Amino acid sequence: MAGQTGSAALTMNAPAADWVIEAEGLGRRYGEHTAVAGLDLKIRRGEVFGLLGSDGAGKTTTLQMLAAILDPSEGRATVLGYASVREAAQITARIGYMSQIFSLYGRLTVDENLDFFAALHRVPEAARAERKARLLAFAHLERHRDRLARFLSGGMQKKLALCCAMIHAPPLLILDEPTTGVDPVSWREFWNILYQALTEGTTIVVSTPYMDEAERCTRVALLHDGRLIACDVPGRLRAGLPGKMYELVAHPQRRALAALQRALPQAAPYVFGERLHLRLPEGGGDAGEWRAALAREHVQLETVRPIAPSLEDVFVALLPSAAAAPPVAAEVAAGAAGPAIEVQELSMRFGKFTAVDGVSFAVQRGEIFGFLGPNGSGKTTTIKMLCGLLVPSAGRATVAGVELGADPRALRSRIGYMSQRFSLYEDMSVGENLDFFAGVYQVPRAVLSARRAEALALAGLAGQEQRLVRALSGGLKQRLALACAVLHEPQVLFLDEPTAGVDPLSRRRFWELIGTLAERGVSVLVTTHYMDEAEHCHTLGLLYNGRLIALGSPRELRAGMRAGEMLELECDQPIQALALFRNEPGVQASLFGDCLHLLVDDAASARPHLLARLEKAGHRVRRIETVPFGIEDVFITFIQMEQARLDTRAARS
Amino acid sequence: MPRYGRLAALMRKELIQFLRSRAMLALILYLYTGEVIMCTFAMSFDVRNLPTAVVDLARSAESRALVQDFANSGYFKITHTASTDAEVAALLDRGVVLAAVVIPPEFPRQLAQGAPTSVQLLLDGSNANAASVAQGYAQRIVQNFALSRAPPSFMAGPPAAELRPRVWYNSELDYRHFMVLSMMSLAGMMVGMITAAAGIVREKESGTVEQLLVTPVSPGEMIAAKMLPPLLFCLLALFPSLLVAAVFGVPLRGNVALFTLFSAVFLLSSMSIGILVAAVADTLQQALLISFLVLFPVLFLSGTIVPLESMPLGLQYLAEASPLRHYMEAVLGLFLKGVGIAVLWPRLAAMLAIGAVLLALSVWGFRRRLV
Repeated sequence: MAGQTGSAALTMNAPAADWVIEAEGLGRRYGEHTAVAGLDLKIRRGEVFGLLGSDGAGKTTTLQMLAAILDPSEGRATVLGYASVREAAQITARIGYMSQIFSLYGRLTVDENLDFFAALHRVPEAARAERKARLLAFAHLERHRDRLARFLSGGMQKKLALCCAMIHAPPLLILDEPTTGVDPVSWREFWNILYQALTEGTTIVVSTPYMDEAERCTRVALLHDGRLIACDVPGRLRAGLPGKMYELVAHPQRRALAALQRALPQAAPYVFGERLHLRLPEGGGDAGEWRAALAREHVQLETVRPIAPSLEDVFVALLPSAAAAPPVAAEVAAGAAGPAIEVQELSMRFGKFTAVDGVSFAVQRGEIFGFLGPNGSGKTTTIKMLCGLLVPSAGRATVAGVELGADPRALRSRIGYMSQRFSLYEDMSVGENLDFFAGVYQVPRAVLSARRAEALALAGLAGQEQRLVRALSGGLKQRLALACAVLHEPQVLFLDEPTAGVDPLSRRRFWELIGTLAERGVSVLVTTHYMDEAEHCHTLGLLYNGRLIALGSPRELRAGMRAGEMLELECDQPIQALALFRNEPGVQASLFGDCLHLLVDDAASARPHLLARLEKAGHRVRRIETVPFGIEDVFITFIQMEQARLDTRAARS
Repeated sequence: MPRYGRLAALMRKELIQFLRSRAMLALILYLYTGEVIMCTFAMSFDVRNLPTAVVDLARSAESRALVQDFANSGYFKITHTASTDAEVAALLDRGVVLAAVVIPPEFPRQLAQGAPTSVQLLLDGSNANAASVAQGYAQRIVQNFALSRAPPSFMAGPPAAELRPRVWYNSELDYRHFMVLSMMSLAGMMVGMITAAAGIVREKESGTVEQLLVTPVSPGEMIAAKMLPPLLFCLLALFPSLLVAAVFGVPLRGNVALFTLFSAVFLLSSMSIGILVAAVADTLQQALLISFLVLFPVLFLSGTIVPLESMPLGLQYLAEASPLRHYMEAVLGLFLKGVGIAVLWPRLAAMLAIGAVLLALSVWGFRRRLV
């Protein structure tokens, strides 16, 4: 863990008093099940420490042990100098803890919630008003002080929960997946509050399933199956990845992927939107070899460029490789063209609340259409209407050639659906689940055994038909659920947050499956709140407050954005540098691992000014350059535009 | 034909899941056996060993003999003796005794003279049922005592009229026969409701119900598949229950095939209630809570605890809507009276009608409430 190249804030020879958290051999068992084992962690004062892992990796258990609300079954932890078991009360009185579940009082107002937590921690009357005002200002919640907490949007609730956890100015904040399902704007505001706390010297430990969120931490621990598989500064984790990452654009992409998987399985090639990513040994040694392999398959190689590996690449490389991915079929029969889904002005109202507001779009045959949006934006409601589970209040739609509401049975036999909750019977075996869905969909006996075998291969579960679904990992369950949903060869496939909470390797494989299905002519409508997954879709629709506020391919959306430029800045002490730009007009600064990301109107004119500011404050700048926008930046811009439109409309009326 | 295949797939799945849920199987067996045994013992409305105080103001051989008769009856247990009314009142107030026998000082004299005499019986009426039963026993004891001590002249001629009670069907008037059969019926009611409700609500909780709804499965098919496995298992579980009844000495006069038919129809109607409950509830907890709300009126209107004949007329009519009431009548008729379908067909018809209405309601409710 010790750093020699890191910035000053990260040097490791800090005095013992500077360790906010020290854990040795920490572990927790629940009966037979080991949730966490042999965890060694040291977290320094002033760090923002990320705990990264999929569902069931042990993140919540770890945080609960560190927050002294769960006793470990082995090992020990010292938090803020107190033993986590013997002096638990000392710890819980001092830290701020935010659990994954809704932890506010829904029937109290924003103000009352804050007052309650302040009273709980005996914040002196004098300090209380000042702290409250400051936190509410940061969270942009001043206008909502008198609203009941349960009527706030998901993002606002998370921000309020954070304010409540910070009302007593705790030296240590422990946050359990605080941003899951939050819209990108709220997410950014949430992190701004955290940055503010960081500049005041607070230590933050945050768990997250999102790679891009982990990139914002000064140090990251990767958890998998209850064990720590890596722990370091994101930059060093990336640098430690053996080999080099390359990005290529090749046509036809699917054939290129198949050829690469065959020629270079250890390079772990995968599709990233319109591009392919692969990891080659140092020096690109056998560059000739894979180029030849592509040439043999008549693949046209457009561009090849080295790229910085993402944290996800690191994670995937460190994961014990699961069951081999099924080989990608190189050739696919081209299906008939034409729209598989056509939606016109579809609306859904529940009482006074409009969940979906006049949404129109079309999905072509073989297209992957991605619905992005925060929780509660109307994604699931739209899918439910298109599946015939909900009757729309207004508008019309045609799915797989069936007019909505005309013939539900015909519609249902032509669509496949996989919901965000696992849609398998956990107390039945793999084979029994497949047989059940085959029976329900009346898969003809003649093709049943072939389809069944294909589905097992698709799920990577061949020869494991007897296993109970309950015993499968999250990733395998998801693949099996998908295999069950396509057993009857539907024309349209609806996937509602299919990858939530699954480890990154499984997520990649899952998207490969979706790609394969799309190439067979299946139209896929998928929702996700992982922004990076947007790259896998041909077309994206961004839903916000029930309205479709952006529609187009990822490339189109990026190109259509006129929102300035992004500068990446590498310097010593990024947290202090961040504080410098906090109140700077025209600059939106955010921490990005050990770098800063600065959103400015014009990079060329802003750069000298920014450099001067840094120099004056005594910062040493190692690197500053313009970087492309992430898809998340795109969506934030669209959401801000929509918010501005709503605000002006509200102001007018 | 194609519809058959789908229904078969659904039923196979339900059967697999049902047989795999060990806890549910154990619960059904327990309700049909353990619970029946326990309730039969516990819910006996008979009175035995009632703690009793005696105030013997006569202090004579006769009064002692009467007290002895009380003690030997097995119904009363003399735990205290008192000498004043105030003492007795205190004992009754504290609940130390539930009955008190006061023998007046003139008792032996009047008895010897053949004059009418009286013995005072004080009863704690807070448990009205026990009190009235105890009153009956006490009356019998005193009457017998009086008859045996009557002067010979009194016994000379035959009495002008004599009541000769003869009880049919349950000749020893053993309350347990009735209790064991009604507990069996009640078990069927609970099992039917809970299994059906749990089967559906579990799918709601795990989210698989949405998956089912986007398949071409119809609500009718789904409900039919949900009902079959619990029905089969519950019918099987009836037999250990009959064994329990036999151990309690229930004569089991009727036809077992007929009993199975009645039970099947009854279980279907109780499962329909369960499905109706599941259409409203989203979680198992809610379902169980609603089940209890439904169970109590059904239980009270069945005649198990209180005879229906003593209820207001309106409630008696309402009781006709309770499938448990008809099943109870049928089971008592089958096993204690030994009557057959010729007599019991109205009960069967009533249960079929109730079941059909409930089933139609639950299919309709299912359609509306599922998403």
